[in-house]
Amino acid sequence: MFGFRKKRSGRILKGNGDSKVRDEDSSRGQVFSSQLKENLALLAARFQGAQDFTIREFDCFGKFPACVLYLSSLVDKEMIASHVVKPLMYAPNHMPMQQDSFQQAKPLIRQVLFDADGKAENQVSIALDLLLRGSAVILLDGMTEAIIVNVQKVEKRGIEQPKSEQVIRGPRDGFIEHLQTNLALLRVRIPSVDLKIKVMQIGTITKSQVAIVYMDGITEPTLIQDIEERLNAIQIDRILDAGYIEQFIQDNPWSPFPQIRSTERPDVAVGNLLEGRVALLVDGSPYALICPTTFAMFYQTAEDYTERTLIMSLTRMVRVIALLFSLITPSLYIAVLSFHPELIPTKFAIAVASGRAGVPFPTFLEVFMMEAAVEILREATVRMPQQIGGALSIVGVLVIGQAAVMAGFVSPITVVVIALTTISSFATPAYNAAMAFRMLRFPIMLATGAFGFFGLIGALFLVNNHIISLKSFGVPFFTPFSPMNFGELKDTIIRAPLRHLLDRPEELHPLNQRRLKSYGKDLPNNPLDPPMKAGERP
Amino acid sequence: MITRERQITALQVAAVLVSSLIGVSILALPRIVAEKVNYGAPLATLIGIILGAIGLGAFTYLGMRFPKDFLIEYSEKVIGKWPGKFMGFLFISYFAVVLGLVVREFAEIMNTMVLAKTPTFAPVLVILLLVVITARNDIVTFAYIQFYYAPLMIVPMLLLILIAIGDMKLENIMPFWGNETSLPDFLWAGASVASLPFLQIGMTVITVLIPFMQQPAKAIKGMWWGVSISSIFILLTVLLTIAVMSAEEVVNDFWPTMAMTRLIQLPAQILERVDLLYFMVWVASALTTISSGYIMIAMLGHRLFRSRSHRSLSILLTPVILIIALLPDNTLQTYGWLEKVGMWGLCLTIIYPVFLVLVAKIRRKGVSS
Repeated sequence: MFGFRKKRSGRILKGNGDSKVRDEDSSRGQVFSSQLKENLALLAARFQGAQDFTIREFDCFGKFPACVLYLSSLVDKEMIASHVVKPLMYAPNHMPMQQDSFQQAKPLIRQVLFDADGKAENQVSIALDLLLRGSAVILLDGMTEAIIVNVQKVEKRGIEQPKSEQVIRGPRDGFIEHLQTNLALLRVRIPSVDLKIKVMQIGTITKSQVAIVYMDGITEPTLIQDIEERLNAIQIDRILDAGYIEQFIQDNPWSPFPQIRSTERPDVAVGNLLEGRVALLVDGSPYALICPTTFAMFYQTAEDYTERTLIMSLTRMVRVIALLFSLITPSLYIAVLSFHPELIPTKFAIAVASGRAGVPFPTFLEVFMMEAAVEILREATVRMPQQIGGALSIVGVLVIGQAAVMAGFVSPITVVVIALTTISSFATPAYNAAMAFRMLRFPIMLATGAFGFFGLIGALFLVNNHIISLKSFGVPFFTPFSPMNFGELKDTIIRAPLRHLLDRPEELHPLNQRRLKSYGKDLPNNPLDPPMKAGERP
Repeated sequence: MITRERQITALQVAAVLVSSLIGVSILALPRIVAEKVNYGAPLATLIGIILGAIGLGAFTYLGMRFPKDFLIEYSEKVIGKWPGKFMGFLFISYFAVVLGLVVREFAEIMNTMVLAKTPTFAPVLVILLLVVITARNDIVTFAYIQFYYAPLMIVPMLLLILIAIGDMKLENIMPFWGNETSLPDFLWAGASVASLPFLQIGMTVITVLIPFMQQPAKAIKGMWWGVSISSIFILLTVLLTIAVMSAEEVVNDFWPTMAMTRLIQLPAQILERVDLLYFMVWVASALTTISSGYIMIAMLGHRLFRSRSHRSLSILLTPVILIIALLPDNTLQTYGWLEKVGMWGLCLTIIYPVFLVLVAKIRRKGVSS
């Protein structure tokens, strides 16, 4: 769908794109004239046909003709009335009422519009740009500058718990679509001057704001430079979501694996910033992109660090096993059943065989069809209206599954295998990584169906080699497993106690390696310990 | 951005050596040695490994003496431009033949073990496909890949020893110098071990690693680790196979190591057949060895013909190796050819590097360390 639309809109753009460029060129460098009528005609001509473009004419201090221009869809009208128009109607007593004191914008801003966020501008193109972003432009007759007041008001939703990354223990706030709010969520967590935010505009038409957030003094400067270069190279008409940025700047667009982690959680973003990574926030997207990313980050959650070591290490292992399950269980089942049934103990083999007695298809076809059916069900559940989603998925899973077994269409053990695969794939916290694994099991199944165990190993060999060969901003994707970094293995499949995680990840080349001074070495012993109380300090 | 050309560490060199030196011929190794020196097989294997280590040591020394050069370049520097090029070409064609035969050997095992009714062409093609795709990576990534597989081979082997310890019989390996054998027999058996393709590939692969090492001077350390781990592995495999099956039995089976895993049973009968699990390990080891050989030829060819990258050559090589792999009529012929070709290959992989070292020392070429 997207490809089709992109093509069409691209052609349309080409059609009138030239005239647009010419227009902008003509207004670039143009300054406001002293005639109000001229300025008004200039801007009104540009906004011809834009219904929300509003011109409010009034007499400044009851004498001088003036007008306010704004886009009614973007601004707070009450604010214009109370903070802009009203003060301009009555001249303050301390201000001399002479014509020439209004030839300049500065005194007006400083003495009349003092409670608004205003500035003077004589460039038409800049005024135009700010007008389009929700500012009001005030033009006075006889003044060669425009006063621009920020009165933007954008509808935004409240901060909610992120739906895609829920935790039981940990903060509950998530990013929203409004960039300034998202930056505030980060700034509140890092009250440090070292938190740097660079904002750039990407998208020739949407001019979406993209913020590069990093920690000065931790993040390797060449990384920031590299990211900026990659962002600057994007010349597209629109950036509608962080996903657009991700797809442009990732290293290998043909890989099934995501090479940049996206998160809805400010605490995750902050944790990664402090490790020396860079976060990218896009106005209009509730996701932050974390670069560079390694494979291990996809099965880790924020909760891993808020709960206790042993429990969360076990949970991580469970997730890794689930990830492997979702990749190879169906293939393993096919390999054993249709190539080497002698591998499994005899009693079990007999049970499996009797379950499959009435099934008309070879194992491969049976498993493949069921996996495809589950994928259809999953996709349908995501797309269907929420009110009927729950009911329908129960019908789909329980009723159809049961009926298929009863009808002799599939064997019960196949249903078990499919269920195991499906549930396993949802144990991965990162949805996009889980999807990669879910989809990869189909080619692996095909290879296994053709060559049995050899096909399975061969396919896994390729998948493995592909993962190892990936790079995210120059960092090998499979760090710290291969290339091996022994020191970092303590925060991968297991998570060592926080007091042992002394260093930031080495592969990011952080400017400041240490994140923790050693803890617990010279702390006093428990003062309430009975022998201590009795003064029997050893 | 943060990519650096020279990234391979000594540990990775060791891992590449381990996963290259453990190849699919290890399945046939106990038979090949036992045919010549019966009970002396482990000792003969040790001699073979030492012979191989001489070649490997010479290559490592040359690599450290010419830390930026590949085999082709330092051959040219040491013995002159055209002789060097000729030797490089000889190397490439020799390893192309060896690789074709190894692929065929592996496919034969596959046909016997798991894909009985599949025509040989199919596994040969699939193996080549897997290897060519892997060989498209650059050398550094390739070292990462090999590093990942090395423990996946060593750990199951150690487990196998643990499981098999009850089935081992001491009388099967005594006397360790064999019955009615002579020193020439041992040397001949050792040479045939050293001529096995996986040893040859493992010995030569270090020549493409050293130019990408962080500190080429540490190559020797990586080499020692790699050689000792893999030689322990190979020796243990031979010892275990003979100890479980006895030398008389070993010669009756084409792939005695495989047969040995078939004899072993897991406790509590969790799985009926252990050999299939180990089959996966052999597949992994074969794939890593073959891709080592493949990327090595591609790299040598890239340096010889001064092509833009080794990738184009790796594609051109595929049909050549495919044809060589399909030439032998059967398993027996494959092994016959392998042995003949491998014996002549010893001139290239042991005598030639030692010769180069001597000439380089006499002519004072390269950085003397």
